[in-house]
Amino acid sequence: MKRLTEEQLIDMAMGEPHPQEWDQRIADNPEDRERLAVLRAGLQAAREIEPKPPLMSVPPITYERFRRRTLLTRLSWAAAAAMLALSLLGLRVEVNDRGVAVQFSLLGSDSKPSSEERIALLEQRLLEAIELKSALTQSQIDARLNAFYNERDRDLNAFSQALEVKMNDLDLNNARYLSVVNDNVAKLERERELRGKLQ
Amino acid sequence: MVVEKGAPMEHLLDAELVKKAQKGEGRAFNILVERYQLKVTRLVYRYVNNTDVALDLVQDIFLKIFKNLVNFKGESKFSSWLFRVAVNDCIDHLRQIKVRKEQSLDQFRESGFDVGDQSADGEIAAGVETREQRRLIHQAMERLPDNQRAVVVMKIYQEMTFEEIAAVFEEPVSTIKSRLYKALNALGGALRQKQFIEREKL
Repeated sequence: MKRLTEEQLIDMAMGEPHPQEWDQRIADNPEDRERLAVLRAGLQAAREIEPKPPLMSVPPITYERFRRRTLLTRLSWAAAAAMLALSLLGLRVEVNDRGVAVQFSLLGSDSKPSSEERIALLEQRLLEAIELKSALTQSQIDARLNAFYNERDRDLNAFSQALEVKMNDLDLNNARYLSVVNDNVAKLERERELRGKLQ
Repeated sequence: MVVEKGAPMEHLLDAELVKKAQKGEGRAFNILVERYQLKVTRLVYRYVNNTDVALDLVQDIFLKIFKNLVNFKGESKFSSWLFRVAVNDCIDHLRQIKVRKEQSLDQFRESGFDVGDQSADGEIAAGVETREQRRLIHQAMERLPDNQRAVVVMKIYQEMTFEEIAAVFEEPVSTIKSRLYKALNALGGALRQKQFIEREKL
């Protein structure tokens, strides 16, 4: 007997409309019966683990929002491309003590530089960048050290002032104690004198 | 069909709305989104099984549709194209997850942990057998090739017709049926194997 095809068995497993003849074939052929049983078990298994979507508040998706988003993306890409183009044209931005300097080193040059010249130029720029970075780093270190020294000086000043106040207080207190001691000594002296006279 | 500007568009066919959206009529695009957002969200959720991820993916899918709408020639139905983009996005997402999972498992193994059998220790609590069975089916489902899994999700969970699925994948119905056969055979085989082992134990 001719066996049922995969498609026919799937139609039967999924409950699709099918000719009665197929049911008869299943009844007659234990192998096909087993194949169909496996498919039905698979269907049951798949349904058992079906993820049930919960109630979700779907976020608004609108044409206007997407248009803004794509416009922003395009703008940022355009800006990046413009920066790249300008840097390829030789735009140089220099920031130093005197301010910001912008210049095109290649724009306006009559002849195109050879590849060696371009490499040399790139190397020079790289060196400049390294120097700028190290200068920046050095200035950052200097700034840190200055800040530290300033803080230390400020602390020292504050400490000296506090010490001076303390010393003044001590001197004042000493003077007070000294006067009290002198008074007491004078009292004792007078008492001794009086005792001597009485005797 | 000629529609005046500002006239309601809800009754228009997808193809008509697509044409209007291609001309820059935002309202037409918004109606298409309204028409399919829920269906796509459900489909995606059934793939990724995570609400936040599903919502993010749906945004991405519609953004792709928005960006490529101009190039859509209408050779297939809009819905077929939309579902194709959705399924491909889900497949990509699951692949990324799989790679990340494997990487983290490798890290675990390198750290000396045994990740061989997560169901060890012979739990006896009630419902363990069902849990174990579900885990087994999940594993079998994860092992399915992407295109077979997609057919399971679309046919069994989304209840799409074979013709609709065939249109999404731009393949003959017989191929889709054959994929479903292989997928159900694998899932059913895994389930029966488990039941057989249980019976042997008894």
